[in-house]
Amino acid sequence: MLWPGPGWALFCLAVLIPAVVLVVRSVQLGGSAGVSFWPSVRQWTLLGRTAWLAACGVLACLVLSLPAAYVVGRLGRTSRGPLIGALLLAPLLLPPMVYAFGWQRTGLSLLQGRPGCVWVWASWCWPIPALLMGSGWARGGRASYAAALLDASPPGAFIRVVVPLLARQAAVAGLILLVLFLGEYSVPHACGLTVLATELLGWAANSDRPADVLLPALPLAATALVGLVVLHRVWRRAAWEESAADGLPGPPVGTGRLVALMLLVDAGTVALPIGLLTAEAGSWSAMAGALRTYGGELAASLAVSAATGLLAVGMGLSLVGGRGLRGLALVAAVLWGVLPGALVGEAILTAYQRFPILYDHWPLLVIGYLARFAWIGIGVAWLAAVSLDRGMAEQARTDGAGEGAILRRLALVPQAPLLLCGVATVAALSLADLAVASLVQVPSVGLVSLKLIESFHRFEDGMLVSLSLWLVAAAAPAALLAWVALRARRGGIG
Amino acid sequence: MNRGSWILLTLLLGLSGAGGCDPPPLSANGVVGVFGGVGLGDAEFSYPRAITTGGDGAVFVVDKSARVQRFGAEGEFELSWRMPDRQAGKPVGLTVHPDGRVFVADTHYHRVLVFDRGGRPLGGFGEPGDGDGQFRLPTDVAVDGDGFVYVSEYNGNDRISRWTPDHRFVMAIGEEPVDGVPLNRPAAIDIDARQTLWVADACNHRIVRFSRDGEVLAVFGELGTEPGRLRYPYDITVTPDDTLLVCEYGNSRLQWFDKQGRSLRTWGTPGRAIGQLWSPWGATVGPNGRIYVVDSLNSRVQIVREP
Repeated sequence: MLWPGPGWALFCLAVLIPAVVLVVRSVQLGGSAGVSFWPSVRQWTLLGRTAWLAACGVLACLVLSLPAAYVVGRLGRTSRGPLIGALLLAPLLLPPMVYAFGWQRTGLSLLQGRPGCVWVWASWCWPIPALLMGSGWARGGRASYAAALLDASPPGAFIRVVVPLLARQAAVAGLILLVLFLGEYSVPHACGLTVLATELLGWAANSDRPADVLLPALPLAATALVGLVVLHRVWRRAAWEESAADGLPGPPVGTGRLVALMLLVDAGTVALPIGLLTAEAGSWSAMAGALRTYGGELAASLAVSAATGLLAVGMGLSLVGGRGLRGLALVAAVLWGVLPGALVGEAILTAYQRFPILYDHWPLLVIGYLARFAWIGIGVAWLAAVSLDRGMAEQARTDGAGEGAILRRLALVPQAPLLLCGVATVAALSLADLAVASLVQVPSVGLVSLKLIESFHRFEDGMLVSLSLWLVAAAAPAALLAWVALRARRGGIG
Repeated sequence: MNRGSWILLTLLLGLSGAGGCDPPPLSANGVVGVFGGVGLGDAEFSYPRAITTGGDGAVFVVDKSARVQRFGAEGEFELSWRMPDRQAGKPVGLTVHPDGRVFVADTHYHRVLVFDRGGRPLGGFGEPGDGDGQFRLPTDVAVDGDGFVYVSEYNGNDRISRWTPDHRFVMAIGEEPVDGVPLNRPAAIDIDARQTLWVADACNHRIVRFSRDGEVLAVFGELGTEPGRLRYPYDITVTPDDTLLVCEYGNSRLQWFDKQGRSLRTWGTPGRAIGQLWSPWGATVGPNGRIYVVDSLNSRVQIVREP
């Protein structure tokens, strides 16, 4: 039997306790003079500017995602699906500030400041709308597409006819991106911009009263929560037209050409900035120099991230293995994960500053990362659990097997690649995280993501480039595991 | 949640609470005073980054809220003022002229501003650029026995510039590579009794000594954590007994060297407790012989009796 206790304990440590303590202490201590429930004019201005920047990022992302959405729609359900899936996941795993540093190497003024921030966000997150719109097209809109092919090329038919039909999927993707960009500060920071999330961090660092962060964060938090509610409603009302056929109508398009198109998109958005950084690094000795300087920090960060990945997926398995409230846990974890990092960090610091065994040591970092990425662990575990073959499960129950044994042997073991992918994904995202890491720090562990930002502030370009490339290398296994996991789910292995 | 879960959670929280211990007494590890704390009020700091002392024992600290605060020798708050411009960034260095004026390296405004000890502005010098008399990002200021002013800077202009007492540019120092390696973020400078410059070459993890005319006299230090090695030295002070006190941001400690570059001792380990440091940006020696350390990530200043 999968014991839900450890899962709930971790959930409480990372989500429930910090959230409750944050609210309670905010009420107890109140805010500093000048901090009020109603945002100031400056805060409104900053929120407006941040929202405008985020909206531009959403639009750019949706446009950039169209070629990949076309490929996903055509190839998502074919044997090339796992490769496409891995190519979709890879951009999301890399630290977004690394994209910014890479694109800045072009020296183009168009890629600096606000335009640069919008482009970096788009080149980082295009897989999200690509996956949603491509999946939506693979399930519906085929009749319209077939009709459009009578007088248009496949890409033309896709743009003119299919894309408008995918308005719901685009809206869902747009909302996800808006929530993501509103709370994201590493890319604006790398581009020299100040957004509301940056200011929240400053306020958190300048005060020991949680209310000084909670109150200014309310507009951002409210926007994120409203966005998620709307997202949920739109998603539930989406008319998913299931098609019996796996293939799409139209002239046969070589899968090789479609894969090449996908690779081109990845190359243009991911490989190019990474390549520019690699070219600047110039030699292995620069990378070795970064290891000499920060080898200890890199090792410690990898260990903390790996521990987070294991605990996140372990927590998920423990929670989904139990009954009741697991849906609520997932929703709570998602909500907690999308809130501004400064708010979550402040909550964790407030909750555990009286417990030195946590507050002064690496477990605090793990709790911080868990708070941010718990939803991935729970989601991956849920995916593994729902992959259970119901017929076999019924047979096993008839034969006297317990629910835990059924889950372990019929769902989890076959889904081991997916679970490992989940561990690696959480680890990669934790390694690059700045949102919570900027606040949740301990003296004995130097986080490599913070060292990267320090190098940025010192204009230590060689170190910046080398550390960026080390972070990219650390994220690569997750993408490979995604490919393996997707192949395994398709029965491509064994 | 079942009963087992509650028991586990209670144990976890109980253990974490039981692991705490009382902070060590103030005299732990030679600490004789601590002042500051996180905040924007008087005697509070928002990530303090530079410290200096005047001949009268006053202590000046500048932090990331662009405030310069003045304290007495025991850390009692006296007054504060804010930099006139702070949107683009905040200062990272300051020094007190022998005549009592306070020189602040206004980093992101590419200039040095001068104040009296009460915070009244008295002018300044410098403008943005790469040329003579221009700054990119000034980091620190020092004054020699003849009143000449030295300003270190970085971001492509990694060098020290020398100015007359009435703030006219004289020459640049350190523009040529030292031991084949160009300066890389000279974070701090100080001047000894022989009127030579000591520079904390932070991103090269070394200390460089120059004559006032720019001749390289000595270089020592290499990357590492062992005594004798350095990791991001952010501040350097020539002590009254003619040793060099180096504040290491990367190793969260202080280290003393003799002028031949031999390590004499270290002080501090990473941590939050009194007697520990967390990414300190600066240290100075007061006229009373005590060491004032800007314990930046702990948002405080620790006063240390020299070990």
